[in-house]
Amino acid sequence: MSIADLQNEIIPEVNTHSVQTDGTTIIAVKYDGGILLGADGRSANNMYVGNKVSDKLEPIHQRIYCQRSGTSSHTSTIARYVRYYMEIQANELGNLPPVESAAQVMREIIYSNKNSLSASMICSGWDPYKGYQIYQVNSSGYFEQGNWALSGSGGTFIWGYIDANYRENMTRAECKEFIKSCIALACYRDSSSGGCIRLLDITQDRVERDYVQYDDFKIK
Amino acid sequence: MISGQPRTHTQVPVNIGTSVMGLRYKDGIMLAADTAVAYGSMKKTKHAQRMAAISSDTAIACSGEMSDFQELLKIFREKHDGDVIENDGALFLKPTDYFNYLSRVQYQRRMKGDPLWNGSIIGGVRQDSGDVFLGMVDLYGTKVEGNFLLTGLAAHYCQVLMQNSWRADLTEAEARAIIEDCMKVMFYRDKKASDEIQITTITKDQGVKIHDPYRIQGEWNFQFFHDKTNEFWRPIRIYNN
Amino acid sequence: MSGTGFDYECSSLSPEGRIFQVEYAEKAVETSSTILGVRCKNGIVLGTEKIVLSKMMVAGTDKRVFSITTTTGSVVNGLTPDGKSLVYRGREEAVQYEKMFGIKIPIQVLAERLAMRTQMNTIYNGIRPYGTSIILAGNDHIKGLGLYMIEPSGQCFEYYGCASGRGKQLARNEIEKVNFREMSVDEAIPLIAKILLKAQEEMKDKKQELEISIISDTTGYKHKILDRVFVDQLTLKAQEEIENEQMEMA
Repeated sequence: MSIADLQNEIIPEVNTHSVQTDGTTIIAVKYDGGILLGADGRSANNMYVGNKVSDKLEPIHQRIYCQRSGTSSHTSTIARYVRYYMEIQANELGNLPPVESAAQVMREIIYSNKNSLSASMICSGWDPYKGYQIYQVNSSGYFEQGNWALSGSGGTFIWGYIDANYRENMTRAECKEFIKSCIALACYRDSSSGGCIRLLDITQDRVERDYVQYDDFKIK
Repeated sequence: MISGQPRTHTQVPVNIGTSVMGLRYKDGIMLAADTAVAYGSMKKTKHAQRMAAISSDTAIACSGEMSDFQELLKIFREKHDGDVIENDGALFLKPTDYFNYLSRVQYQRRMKGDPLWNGSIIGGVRQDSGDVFLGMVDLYGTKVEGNFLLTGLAAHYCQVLMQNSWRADLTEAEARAIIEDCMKVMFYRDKKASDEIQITTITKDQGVKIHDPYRIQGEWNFQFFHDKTNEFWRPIRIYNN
Repeated sequence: MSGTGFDYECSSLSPEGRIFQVEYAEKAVETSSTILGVRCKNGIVLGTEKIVLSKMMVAGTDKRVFSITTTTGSVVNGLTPDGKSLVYRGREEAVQYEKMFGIKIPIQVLAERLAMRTQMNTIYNGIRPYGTSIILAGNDHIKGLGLYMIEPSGQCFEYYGCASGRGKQLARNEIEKVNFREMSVDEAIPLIAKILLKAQEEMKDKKQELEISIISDTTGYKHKILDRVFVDQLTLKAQEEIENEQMEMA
């Protein structure tokens, strides 16, 4: 159970009138030798910030993670389904499941229920077959692969920043700074993003989390 | 979702690829589309491929909802692979078969109130007989065949341009020039169009060939653009009859 | 081999620990045409020989080589209808897997699933085991090329080269002798035609037909059943060579 879910139970009256959404800025970037995922920490119920430090980085398998934006309950349920499918597949395969497969399962769920779901998700990770991959499925089930992906309401404000500043084959440190500034800028203008930055570094050998508190957000 | 309502997919298109074009030329068929996919009014993806080969001699180019286009490609691939796997000596599906199949799929989905929101152009050249085919299917399943076809806004903007310049004996270079001309008009006047375009040719010798996307050059340096300001001393054309 | 009551159903083991129905199924395989699969440097070759049963039968009707997906091929022997039924099952599995997981079925998973299916037919009352061996060859992005053989018992292994049917022993010896792994598919095809013909030596008075299919880098790792005209020419050539060899020996 995530912190957001706990919070809903603690303050039930908030959730009876509104749906908790990850307004969200989520971003995934491939760097030289890995993938960095970044997300802000705000989950809002309409005007009320239901969770200041929610975790929008959801594990699918050992080296596959997804990032959630949209209605929290929808996206976490989708993530749970994908996790379930990937576990079956990994067992049958006797090896790590392909990232593409996780993304395709996600696409199938979102596409075939697009009118009842509000979910836009990024699925990224490493597998021994095709290496590092980033896939994105938006709320109507459009499937994309790329070197970076951006989603959520906060994303809208930083497209130009990314178009101007993104480079291929950044080092890990550069990439981290890039993602931090992206999310900090998004939080600066987007009322649905804020709180903190959660970072996740996926490489072939390990997965490592990082946390940036609000005081350390740099705009300039 | 309100319970009791039927399950539906696309009611409103969101990820929009704008117009596609197709025309016959001397050697076969040329399909063209730009590479932008708009999410609402934001050009979200600038390097998408909106055309695909569905068999060795047939290709499709799609405008409209791109998630539906991806689904359509899956439907086609299943059809094509099943056909190849069967290997029963029957003839493999031909361009016209894919065309008719697509129109039935579209019509069926439309009657379910759950359309695949696409305007598609299918082109093909049979490798055995050399028969050339070009057809268009819309989201209702309407079939149209012609020497040149346009979907979406291009059907409004470029119809006359095509009518005036199309001939049966166009060379590939000439056909490409016409397409680029039309694409230029689209880029000028269709807000969701992009100046990066991609062309697919289908010929008897080479089958389906999807070319690399490239940028087209527009003309932005007319003196009259510079002069068209709101200053009150703006030059006024005076006609002396 | 007598079952003394234990050979009517495969639901019970005999006191010696044997399932006679499975052994009988293996018998059906052993007396039928030779099938083989060989892993080469740049691909896999599948092949089978068969006797043309009737002069009035249309050539090419009696098929034993099938595609399961565009990148997976198979060859069956024994009771060919049993084999076909397994192949159709394989096609269903492949489509279902792709719908569920969004990627092409890995050949290893396909082989494992068909083996499980075969195994299910060896434990129940009222159904008989498949009287067929099936060799699967495929390419996927998980492990690359893979060659598997499933036997009537449900046994399934991966091979560099495998054979089944009446010429099994001879074919296996020949495959072990030649270093196919250092050889390209194109070089291997004539050798395989020869092996297949040798494996049915005692039947050589009857009209013989070969079926060969390949998966290689030249076919874009797609399964391709070789053209009948080409294979017939290959057969004639191989027959000549075998005769020449025998003349020299004599």
